[in-house]
Amino acid sequence: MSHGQWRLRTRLALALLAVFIPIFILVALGHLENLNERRQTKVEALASIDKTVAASMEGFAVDLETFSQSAAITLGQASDRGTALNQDNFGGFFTTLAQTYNVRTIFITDLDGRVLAGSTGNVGFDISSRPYFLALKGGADTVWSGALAGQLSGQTTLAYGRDVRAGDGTVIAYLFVAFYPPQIANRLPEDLPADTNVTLIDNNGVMLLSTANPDADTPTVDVSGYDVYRRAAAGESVLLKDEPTPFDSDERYGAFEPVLETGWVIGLTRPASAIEGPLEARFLRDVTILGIALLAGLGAMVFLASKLSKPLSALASSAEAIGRGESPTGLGQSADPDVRRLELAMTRMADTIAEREETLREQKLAAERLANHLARLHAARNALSTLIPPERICEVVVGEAVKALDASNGAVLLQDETRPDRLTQVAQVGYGREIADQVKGADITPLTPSGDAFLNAKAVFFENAAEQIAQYPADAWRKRATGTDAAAFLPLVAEDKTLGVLVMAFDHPRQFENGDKQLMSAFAGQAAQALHRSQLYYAEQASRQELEAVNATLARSNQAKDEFLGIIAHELRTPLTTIFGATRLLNDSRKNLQPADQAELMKSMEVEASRLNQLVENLLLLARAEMGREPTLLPMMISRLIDRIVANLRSSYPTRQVIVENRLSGDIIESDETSIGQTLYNLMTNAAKYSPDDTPIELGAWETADGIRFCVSDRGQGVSPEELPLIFESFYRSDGAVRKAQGKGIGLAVCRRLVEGLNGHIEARLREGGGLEVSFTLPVTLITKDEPAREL
Amino acid sequence: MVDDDPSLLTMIRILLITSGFGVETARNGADALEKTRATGFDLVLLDLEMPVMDGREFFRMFRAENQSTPVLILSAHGAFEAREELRAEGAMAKPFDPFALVREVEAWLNPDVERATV
Repeated sequence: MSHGQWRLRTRLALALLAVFIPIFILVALGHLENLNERRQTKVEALASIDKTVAASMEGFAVDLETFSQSAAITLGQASDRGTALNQDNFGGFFTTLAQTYNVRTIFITDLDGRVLAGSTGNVGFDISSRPYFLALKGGADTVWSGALAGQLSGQTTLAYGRDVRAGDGTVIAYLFVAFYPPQIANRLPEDLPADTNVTLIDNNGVMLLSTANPDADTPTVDVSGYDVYRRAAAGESVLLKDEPTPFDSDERYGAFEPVLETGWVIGLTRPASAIEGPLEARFLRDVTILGIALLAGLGAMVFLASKLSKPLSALASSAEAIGRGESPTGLGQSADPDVRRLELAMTRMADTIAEREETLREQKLAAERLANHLARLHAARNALSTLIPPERICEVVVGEAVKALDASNGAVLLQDETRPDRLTQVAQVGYGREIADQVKGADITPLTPSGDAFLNAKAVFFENAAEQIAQYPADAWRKRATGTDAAAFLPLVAEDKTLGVLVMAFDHPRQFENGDKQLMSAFAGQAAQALHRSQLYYAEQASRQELEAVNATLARSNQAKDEFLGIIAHELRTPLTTIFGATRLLNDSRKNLQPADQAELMKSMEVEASRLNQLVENLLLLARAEMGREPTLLPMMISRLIDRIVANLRSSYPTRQVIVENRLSGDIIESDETSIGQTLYNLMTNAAKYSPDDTPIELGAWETADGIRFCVSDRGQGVSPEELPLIFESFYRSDGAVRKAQGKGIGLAVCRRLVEGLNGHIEARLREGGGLEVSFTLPVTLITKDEPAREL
Repeated sequence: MVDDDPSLLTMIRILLITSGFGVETARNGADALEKTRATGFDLVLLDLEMPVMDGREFFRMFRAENQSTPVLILSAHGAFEAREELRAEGAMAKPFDPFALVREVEAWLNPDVERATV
């Protein structure tokens, strides 16, 4: 039998048990409830009987007391009448009484305890030692004895005693009634069940009677410590439920009632089995029926299981095999047509599942490949989404493409910027260093696959090395050097421009499927786009930087121009003020003016007009220098120039002393007379303007190693040492020196431009003893000699 | 009248004398300061750009010694800004109408004549 069958049976048995156990529990609970109810009923019934019995005992005792009293009265009266209390007179009386009341004996004693007369005779028998006698002798009117061993019979006896009094109340004798406890039992109801134990306990706790234990009816059984007795003796009705008693060995139920008159307790108990027995029988019957049903069920299950489990376990192992993805075995032996149909269906199902599984596996592989490709493409695109240099783009693309296609080698060749007829390797994967150096660049020619791909912007694929070598024999050395097999060359085309080639190579022959080709093209496309973007970006950035530089220069020169214009305006306004004012005065108030004043005004106008002219001249020269126009070089005489400049200055500063020191060995040079003249004039007027009227202006000229040097100096205040390097800056402004520099106008700036335009050099220094000295040197040589320096 | 331009000094001197004012000229601030110390004046006409001592420096030194004589600034560049800066009493931009200057001077020297705002 197979494991499957066992398991099936176990399951069926467990299922049955699962049904039966609750039923069993219900039956058992019902039984217990019945038992409790029945017990209660029975106990109550017995208690009720016990009360009756107790009442009957009570009646017995009262009867006994009553007739004893009647007898005592009779005896007392008889004694008073003189009748002697002896056997002769009362023997018959007592016998009749004993018979009437069914007691063992009735007798009287004298005051010393000797029997005087009785129903059983025994006159003279001494009972003086008996406790009940002693109780009466001690003064009690009546006494109920406890259980006694009969002095004569030896049987357990009970006695009631009372005094007999004469008419005057004197105790003259004692009357006793003795009886056996069974005589009480005779008074019990006849319908008591036979198994009832009637137990009578006396007022001392001594058991007088126990009908179930006839042998134990001796007054030696002391139950005074028995709790039930004590409670009953105290006057309580005590019910007993399933407990043993001191006088019964089995468990019992019943009731104990007090007999108040005598202080006895009467108990009626029955064995617990008397109640439980019938119920247990019924319970046993129910349980038996249930058990039989259970067994029958089990049998049926076992039978069914043995019929079903074999094919089922075969089907189960088939299903397990299908679940594991194997073909099911062991089917097809079953004779049962239904099971057989099921088996066939399962076999077909297994076949279908196997087919599906195969398809799914293939699809999964394809999907994984696709996912990998997409992930690589995505990674490349992400990496390329930020602007990065072309080298980095090539590294990323070739790296991702090689991983995606499982290629052994890859490279990106880009058209060289400096040599557009060559492709240069920018990034590569998988080529050894030596080989990479060997194949680092290639001329762009249709004789190489990369050149071909580049020139025609067309992808080229080779399934193996032989194919490539056959097609491009001139490039065979390169192919052999790399040692690769299948290969692909993909042009990098963006915006209709081919930028380079993506090379993929494999260490084994390979047939490129459409998907592979598309993937490689996608990588090439990405690379091309990113490279294109990168080129645009860097080109744009370069031109932007250029533009920014130009902008900055323009902004600077614009600002300089503004400042320059401000200075020019100032320079123009000053002479204009004089000319304008003088003109108005002459026009409107000529008649109020002295002729001398008129002449003076006219002179001022002339001077200022000349100044304006000089200013315009300066501006023109400056403009010419700014425009980069070459000065006109002509032969000129320095002495004549100096004379003219001094004369010009005198027209503005007629009284000013000018010292000329011409130490040149010749007089004629080839240079631009206008530039030199303007420079000297500017320097002279500056000196005149910025030094006190009574100090001389000095003009010197001499030869140096570099050429000819001119020097103009004054004894004015000069400038501060910090200001010195700045005085030739035409647009120079600074907070501390702006106003003074402004005052110097554009003159010095023009001087520098003019001197530099002649390839000369101008500089200023502060003189010892005060004043400023400005000198410039021109790289010219004297053509002729002339007279030495002279003073004007 | 303080200015470094001899032609302008000539023109203004003739203009003001013809209009009935007495004029003293100076070529720079130091010169002017010397003259104001020597003689009392009713009004100072002051250029800003001058060698040796410029108009601003003169003004500060002059104002330290003399708080009653008004100073009118005459400049081709920033006359009004300098007036604000120095808290001078008046200013005129070069070039100016000579008769406007005469009216301005009259207004300062003769309070009955209403002063033109230039």
